[in-house]
Amino acid sequence: MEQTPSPPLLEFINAGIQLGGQVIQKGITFSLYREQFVAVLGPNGAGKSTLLKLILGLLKPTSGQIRLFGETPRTGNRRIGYTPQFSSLEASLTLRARDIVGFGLDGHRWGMALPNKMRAAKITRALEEVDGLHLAEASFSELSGGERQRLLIAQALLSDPELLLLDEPLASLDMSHAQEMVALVDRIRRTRGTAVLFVTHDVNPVLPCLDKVLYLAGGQSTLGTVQDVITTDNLSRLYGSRVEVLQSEGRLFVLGVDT
Amino acid sequence: MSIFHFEFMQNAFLAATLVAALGGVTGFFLIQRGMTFAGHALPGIGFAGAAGAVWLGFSPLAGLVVFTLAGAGGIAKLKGDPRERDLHIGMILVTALALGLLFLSLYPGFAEPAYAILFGSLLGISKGETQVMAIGSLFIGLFFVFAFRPLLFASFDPQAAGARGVPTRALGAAFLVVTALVVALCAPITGTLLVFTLLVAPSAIATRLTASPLKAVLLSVVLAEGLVWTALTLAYFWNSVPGFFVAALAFLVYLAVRLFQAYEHRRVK
Repeated sequence: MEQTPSPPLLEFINAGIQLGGQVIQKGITFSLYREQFVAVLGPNGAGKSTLLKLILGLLKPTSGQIRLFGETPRTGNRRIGYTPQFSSLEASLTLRARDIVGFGLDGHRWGMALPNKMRAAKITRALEEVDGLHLAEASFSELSGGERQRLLIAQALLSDPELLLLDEPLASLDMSHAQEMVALVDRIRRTRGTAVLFVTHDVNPVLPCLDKVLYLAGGQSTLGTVQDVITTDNLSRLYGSRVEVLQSEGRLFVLGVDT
Repeated sequence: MSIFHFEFMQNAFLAATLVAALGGVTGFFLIQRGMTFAGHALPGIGFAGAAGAVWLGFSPLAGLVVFTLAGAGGIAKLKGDPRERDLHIGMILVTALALGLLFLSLYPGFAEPAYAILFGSLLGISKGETQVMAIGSLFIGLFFVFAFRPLLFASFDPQAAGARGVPTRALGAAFLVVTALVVALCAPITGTLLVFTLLVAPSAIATRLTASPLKAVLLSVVLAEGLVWTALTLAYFWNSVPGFFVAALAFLVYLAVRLFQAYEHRRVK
């Protein structure tokens, strides 16, 4: 991306991650630019979700530094939209879709939200953007995995973010729903110019719109195009063991590891 | 003769109205946070405190407040997934109940004030007590108005709320402290055994009927008020205990709503 004139939205400069005294990543270095779609790949425990928490300012790197919009990351940054993994939603899910999306607008503010036409219109627009207007009055518990994910993305869009951090949005979706979800995210980033960091365990659904891949494994990471990163040599080096990459009918298969 | 003829009935209605409002609002958030079991455990823990205070010659109310607050502090410190958390709460609860039993047995004679906390005495409430309750309810009400949105956001999705700058842990702890105070205010009236009825039943019914948070809270309060007023009236005319009618009516309404919804569901299919 040397030809990109604008400065990077996000820069990791040799940032190390430790969790509970254990080194998860020695030093991640990469840059993310406007409108880029980057998939974050790697096995469980490689630090994919932790990477997002560093960007959100919920954790600090143990070494190196992170520059987000030219500054140190902090919580409460409205220029980032974030959807966590589903499994983190543990409590009762009886809330209405419209209210859940509304959290993205003012859920962090003290006091009560009184019915307000402008607020309702913004929520409606966000629902439209994710093709979810028909879900507005439904209770979250009645919705499918894909529908829930769309609502969380609508919620994340309400602060007009320049960077979307999506943690495993394809978890629990079948291939066709996963493709729909990826197409939706791709459309959003093209119309809004938003950069996307997309955490996923399977690269195949995102292949059509991917700019780059950030692969985390074995305490190390590489950023590059799919062709450069997901190769037998490179992944074997990252994992520190023999890994085989196979290509068949436009799909990639990584053999020899649990992804 | 009018039911409001006696001052003790006026006080009972006033206290019951406040208790129902507190329970209706607090219960909604207990359900949203998946913490109804904590709502069941805190009164039990509080009872142990009341029994201990009676044994040591203090006011049972002091023991109730100290133990429910300590219990809330302990529960706030629990981490991990909800199932494991409920297991820990259960262990805290049985330990507290065992302590309560010990305190009761140590007390020479019949520990009447402790039993009063266990079963409650709506009809024996004084004017001064209702005034204390009114002031307490006002502050608790202000907390909920202030914390409504971030507390709901943090209950639904703690990670996204945290990323948005909501102090999720502090807010969760503050909510438990408020729940402990609600329990301490309600227990002398409904009894620790039946606080749970008002804390959870109206909100459980309300969240089945509407998915809008504001409507659910209001409906929950309306249901709670309906329950306690009906129960008090029935208890007055049949010369019986109000607590029984609160619980029995709550169960019947809950059952009716569930049966009706099951019927609707089948009809739509």
